[in-house]
Amino acid sequence: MATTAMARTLTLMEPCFSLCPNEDQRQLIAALDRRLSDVANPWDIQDVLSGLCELGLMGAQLPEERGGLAQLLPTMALIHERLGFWRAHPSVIEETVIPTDLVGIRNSSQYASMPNSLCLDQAIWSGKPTAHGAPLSASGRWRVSGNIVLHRHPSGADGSLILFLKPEGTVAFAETKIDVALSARHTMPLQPDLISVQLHDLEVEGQMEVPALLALRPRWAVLRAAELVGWAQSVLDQCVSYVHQREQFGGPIARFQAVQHALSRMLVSVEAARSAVYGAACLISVHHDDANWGHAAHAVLESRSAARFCTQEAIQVHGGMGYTKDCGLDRPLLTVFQIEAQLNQMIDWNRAIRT
Amino acid sequence: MNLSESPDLISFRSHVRAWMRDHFVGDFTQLEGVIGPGSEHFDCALAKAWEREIAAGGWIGLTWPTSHGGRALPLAFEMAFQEEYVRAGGPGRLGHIGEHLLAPTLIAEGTDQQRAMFLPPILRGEEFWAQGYSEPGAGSDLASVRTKATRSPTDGRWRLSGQKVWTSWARESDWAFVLARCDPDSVRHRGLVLLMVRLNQPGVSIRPIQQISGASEFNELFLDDAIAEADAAIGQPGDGWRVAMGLLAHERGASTLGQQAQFVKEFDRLTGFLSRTGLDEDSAVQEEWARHQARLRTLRFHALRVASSGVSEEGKRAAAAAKYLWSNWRRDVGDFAARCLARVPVISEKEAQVVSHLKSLWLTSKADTIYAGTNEIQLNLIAQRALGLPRPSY
Repeated sequence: MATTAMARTLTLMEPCFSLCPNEDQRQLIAALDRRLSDVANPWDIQDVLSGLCELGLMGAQLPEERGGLAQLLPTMALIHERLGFWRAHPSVIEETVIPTDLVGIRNSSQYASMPNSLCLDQAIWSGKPTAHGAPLSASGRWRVSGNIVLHRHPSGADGSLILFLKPEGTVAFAETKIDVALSARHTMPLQPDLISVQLHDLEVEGQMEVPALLALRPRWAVLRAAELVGWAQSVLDQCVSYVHQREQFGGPIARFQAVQHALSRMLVSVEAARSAVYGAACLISVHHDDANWGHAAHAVLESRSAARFCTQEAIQVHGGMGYTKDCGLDRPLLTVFQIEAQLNQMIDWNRAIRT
Repeated sequence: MNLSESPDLISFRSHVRAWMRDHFVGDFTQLEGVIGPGSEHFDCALAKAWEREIAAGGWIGLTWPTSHGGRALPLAFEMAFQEEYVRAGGPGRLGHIGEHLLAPTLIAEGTDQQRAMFLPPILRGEEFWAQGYSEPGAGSDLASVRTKATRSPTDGRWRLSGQKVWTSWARESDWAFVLARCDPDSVRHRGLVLLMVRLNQPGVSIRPIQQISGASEFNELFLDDAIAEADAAIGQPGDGWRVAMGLLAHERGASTLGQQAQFVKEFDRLTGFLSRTGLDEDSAVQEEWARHQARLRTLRFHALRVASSGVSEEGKRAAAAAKYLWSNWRRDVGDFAARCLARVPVISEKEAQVVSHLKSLWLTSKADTIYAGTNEIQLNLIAQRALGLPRPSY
């Protein structure tokens, strides 16, 4: 009976958890929306990066003493959801969060120089290095060789490359400035968005602890999942706008139940994915263990399903127009595919959710 | 956003666990896992005694205002209570409709006299309620209700005639709230009244409906000059539609926030079966299992998000999707369970009880996407309320 008495004494409680943005996050997102709505071409990475820099959001997850805003993963997820919503190029994450995470942990002074003309070895997503190297000295210099894949061509004299390499039976990260002329001579286009770079006995320097790297990867997966939610919301909004304008059988097609139900199902999938991403982001931000892969898997499974479903349904709702380039649904369709492919390189998500 | 629970909430959870450990003992343990879909055969007197025990523990009316005998706790505490309660093996709640549907409606729309009369017995776990909405000709199209409510010009009492259907727990209940047409010339949403009707009276008869699950939780309710008192209307006569819809919002929303704890139990049972039978080595099974597992986690996060979003636009959108999400998840899992069961030709005696539960899950989940607003109605509501689309043309 003692427990009953204790239970009765509990009255109005202090606020506890929340799975919706707080006031600070809302203001931050509103500012980001205003800025991104002014970007003429969100597909232009430099335009988007400029916007993020203006708002002080580059390296937002870094501690304040390192020039960041000390934002945890939930805020970063909100930012990336908006980047997806505004249809920003998916490489933004490779220019901001990933190098910032890596360099921020290792050496904050390098952060300022990172975003400019940075290229990321795509092997980071699979966790399986395609380059290998041998240490030259105790100072952290390496001689590396191998084929690496980049999303875009390194450019500019101060272009940076983050290389994921495998030194003598282990894995590690190395990052260095590379010679543009050298890279140009050794690069070869693979697909429109991918470039292969051949490295032969290239000297690089710097490295990172492997466990730290591995611990970061579920975070990046959640941010990718957040982008997928943004893309899905974006095409849903495009559909809602379209069905009000498009007239058939004497009025807007918005009045047809078949059309409404398609949009409603899209909303359900987006809302489910959003809940999954927010929840996973919250859990990962406070835990640092293997369970994070399970949390990330939850976000990935829901968001990739929602994004795939919404982009497919969006084309159907737009009818023949949806099949045309003018409609602009090709970009969400292909980008969602690209992000999903990148996520699928990381891990078997169906297995990961068991953790 | 923050999923950390406050010290108060953590402490509250431990109180619930301790209380269940101390009180869900003896004869009450016969109720473990019953009074829910597929488990409707139970000792009614014992179930009512358990409700009184819960009431004595102070666990009814957690979110009600203190002025009405509640504890004014945030929704998160109601969710936490339901989660811990289910984990401890607590049975389905016979008092659910009274506590979670009628009471919030009375608090919002009732008179002081009604609140004084009906809330205390609910708080004490002494009176139980049923819901009289659907009729044979008014299911999804609820505005077509034909049950007539006529007011006596002398004493103001109401006389009701008509038939209700799908009335959960009517045989176990003391009262029902009944949506009826009080203006014979009215059509559709106008001229309706929501009346509180005592079920134990000559003008009321109840007939159970045999369901495909073999149980009969649902009933037909026949009203033949049944009497409701003069002050039995919740809200103004003629305004019954608005009041009834407010009540439905509770049924589809807050009242279901903790039920994913029950879903976790059901899904764990299925997972164990897949493991013991080796079906979990099949990659197709693994993939489908992963999808359902992900959605199960989502249901909890979604409930937390709805609970913490309040009346914001984002909160409304999330809430609109909630019923469709959980009901379709459970139906799909039920179907998954049935397909897995069908792949195991010989089932050991040890598995008999689990198989029975899984079959029950499969059959009872067929109702989830129908009651409390069918899938089709839910999609209509999402379209209109969350997406701002017009009423559809038929």
